Amino acid sequence: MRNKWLGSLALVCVTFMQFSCGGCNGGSEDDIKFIPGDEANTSDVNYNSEAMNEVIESFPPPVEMAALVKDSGVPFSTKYLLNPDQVNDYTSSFKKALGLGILSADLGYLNVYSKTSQILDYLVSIRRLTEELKLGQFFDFQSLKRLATSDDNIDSLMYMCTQSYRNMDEHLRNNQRSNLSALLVTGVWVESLYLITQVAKEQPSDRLRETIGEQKRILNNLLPIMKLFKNSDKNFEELVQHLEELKEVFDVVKITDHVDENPQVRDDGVIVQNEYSVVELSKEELQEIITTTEKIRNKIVK
Amino acid sequence: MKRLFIFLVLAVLALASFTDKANAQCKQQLVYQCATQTEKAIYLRDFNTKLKRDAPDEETGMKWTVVLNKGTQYRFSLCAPDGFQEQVVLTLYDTEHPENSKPYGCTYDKVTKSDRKSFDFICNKTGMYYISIRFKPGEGGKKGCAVGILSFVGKSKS
Repeated sequence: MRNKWLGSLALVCVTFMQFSCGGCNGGSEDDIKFIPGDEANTSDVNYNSEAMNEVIESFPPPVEMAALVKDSGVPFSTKYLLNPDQVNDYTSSFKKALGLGILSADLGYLNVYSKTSQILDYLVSIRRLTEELKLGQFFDFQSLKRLATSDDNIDSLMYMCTQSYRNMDEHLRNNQRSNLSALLVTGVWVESLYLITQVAKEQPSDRLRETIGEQKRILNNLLPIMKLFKNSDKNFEELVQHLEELKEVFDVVKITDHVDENPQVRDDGVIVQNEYSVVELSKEELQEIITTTEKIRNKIVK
Repeated sequence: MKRLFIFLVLAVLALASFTDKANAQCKQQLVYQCATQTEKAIYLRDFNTKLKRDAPDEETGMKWTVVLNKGTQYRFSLCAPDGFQEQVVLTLYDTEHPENSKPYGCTYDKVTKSDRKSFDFICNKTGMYYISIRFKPGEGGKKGCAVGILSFVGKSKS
């Protein structure tokens, strides 16, 4: 009798906790769903993980560089994007996580330009990768597909894509899979750099040159993170070599910081940062960055 | 029977702490509303936190690191459930512009004691910055949540 009573109590507790879990990190049942057993094959690096997670978390989302490109008046082109079918050949978690980052950046680009008709192919490939990486619970394919087929919902689609990406990244970091999280942000960053350098190759401008030069600072934050995983896997070792090659060409970029004495707040209330950086990057040095980025990105996506 | 009693007490305590955590952050509906009320700005990221202050000098809320790119105008918005918004403040700062002395911007003006739902910031230096969401000085006494939204307004024209 007592055992039966205890069993009922345990059932009540478990049921209660399942209902409550809908509120974790967001509050309702349509929020993040946890799938038990998703922690398999963990290979985290036990080194200052809090600081590492902070850096990974701080990286710009997939949509940001694309938004900057669009805002520069650059017309849309699919030639900058990876063929989504290419990720079908990826077999390792390493390649899949990196590919997920790359396709997320491409999806951000398509979203920003409201190319809903082309988004579906990317959603299909991303769904495959998320399922294979046991992240499918964060990628609501049916809802995204529904939003993608209606031109009126581009804001909701962009919101949901960015949220899915953030939730996947956060889940990986919180479940001792920071190696995959690092690959995810690296994929986004490399593809975003590829996008902006390809645009600069065809339509050079001082603004784009400056934005590219400033990526030196992002790379200098990313590289130490990737080095933490260097010895865990041969693929990581190779990726670090690629990033170090990229660092060499970025090392010539000279960035100096200055302070402006002008008022910080414009008449319209916009706050203008009074510190500013000056980027020195010659045409030849920029060309070297463009070429190296192209070479490395194309190696990574093979 | 004694063991059963201990089990029951532990179960109740575990459930109590769990439900407290479950109600911690703002619900996704509020995050979505806040993220899509940024006019033509593009949603980039949200900062969702619970807030609870037991003692007047207790530090509450959270801070996050975020990379901002030079030449970009960003919008920082703050949302909270009804009746809670006027108690919280979102602050943008870095190591050279400390949170409490001279942050880049915040949703509450200490001098005029006025609130604003959002502010725009033109970044002129790519790098790491911090966002915090905390109770205003002297505020807090009940627990709640708040969410900050970072969005992309456009390439800066300055």
